[in-house]
Amino acid sequence: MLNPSVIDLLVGVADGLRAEVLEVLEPGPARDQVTAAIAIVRRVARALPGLVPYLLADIDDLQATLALLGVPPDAAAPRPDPGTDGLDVLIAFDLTLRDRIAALAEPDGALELGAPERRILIDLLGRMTERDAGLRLSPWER
Amino acid sequence: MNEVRAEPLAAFLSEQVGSAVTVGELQRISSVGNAREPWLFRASWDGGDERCVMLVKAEAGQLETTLGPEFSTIAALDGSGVPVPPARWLDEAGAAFGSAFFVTAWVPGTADTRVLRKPEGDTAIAAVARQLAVAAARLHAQDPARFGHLTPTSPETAASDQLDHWEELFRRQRLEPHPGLVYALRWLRERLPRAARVSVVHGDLRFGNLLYDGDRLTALVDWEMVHLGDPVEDLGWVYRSLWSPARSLPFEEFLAVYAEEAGRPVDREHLRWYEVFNEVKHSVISLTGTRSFADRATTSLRHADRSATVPPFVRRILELIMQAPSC
Repeated sequence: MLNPSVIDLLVGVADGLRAEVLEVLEPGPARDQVTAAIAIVRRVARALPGLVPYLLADIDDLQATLALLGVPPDAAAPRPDPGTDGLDVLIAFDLTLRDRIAALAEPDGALELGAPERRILIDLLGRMTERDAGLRLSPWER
Repeated sequence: MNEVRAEPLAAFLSEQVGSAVTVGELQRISSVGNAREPWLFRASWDGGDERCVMLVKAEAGQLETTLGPEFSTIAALDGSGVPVPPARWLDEAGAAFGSAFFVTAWVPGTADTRVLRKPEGDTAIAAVARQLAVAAARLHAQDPARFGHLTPTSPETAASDQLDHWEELFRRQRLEPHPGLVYALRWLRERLPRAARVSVVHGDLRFGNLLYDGDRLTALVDWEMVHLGDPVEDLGWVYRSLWSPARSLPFEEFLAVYAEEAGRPVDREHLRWYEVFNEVKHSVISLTGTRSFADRATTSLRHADRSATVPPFVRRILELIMQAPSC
């Protein structure tokens, strides 16, 4: 099934819950749960179209930054192919790269962080937060 | 969460008061807080009648705290000039109905924060914010020796004690690497400030955790993160953008009122350290919420994707670090 699309489906679920369930619930834990569920479904629907481009951009940026910092690529973990690999593979690979960046940021990290390296790291972290903002998964991003 | 009922509550209160207590008008109050579930009721006994608020410890969520320090702090602050609801009874063992709770007297006021978003500001909120600055200074002037129920610290270790606590939680609760927070922790560790003095720190001092009635601050509430530490920690939390009253009273004016009452100025780089620290702290609180949901320690959907709030905090951390003399 391609239509309704996954996004249309999620938005429809949120609309249906709001119209038929939320409206008849008294204030209390059940209403709080449905309210939160609707908000999550809407945020996921909002973010879903951008998720694969987000991951690919993040992977490119993290790999480029590691190279800039002189960290060799992990030969045992080649870049996933978005044409054949699923979303879970992209996420796992991205998390591996983030883990390597986090390890560099640790006080006892393998890399000596002088001013230029810190600047490279902070610039990367800034671009990552901008990408996150673009994804709009946060309830505080509009 | 166990069922809250009037009968076991009345039995517990009767034991505490020493005569038969009846509980009426028991009702749940709506709250945006996550760690405590608030209830309103009226307690009546021979020679007494009082409207009360009961705070019931919530199931696992964003915070791992016990009720004892919170209750004892409120009790110790009674009559101190810091506005708090009068402390009444504590059931830390959950003897009455299975969940721990404590009771305070009811205090008039609202915690509504919607008024903070008025673009033109609000004169009543400005007045309350000034009173908050005075209340904060008075809280920070309390003798820590009177708060023996709180873990001791020193001017040298106040910052590192808190950083150790939140870093340990971060490493335990995170579900992914979060390199931005790792870098922030390193930045903080490299610049630990020395506290001018050790004070009682509210730990969540802000609009939303205070009651006001018109233009009058009536009580500071939600003391679940109270601890002994550096008073600047509260100042680095009180005007975070999520709950800032800056449209009604600029932060500089708030700090000026605080400094006048406290009798000492606030150093801006010292404050910046705590502003960065507090963004990390709120991030860890969010990560803890998501961890609790992921581990099924709570079924509350409010926690499910709470870690999605972290990137805006990291963005703020980076802004603060970039404005510092060295990043």
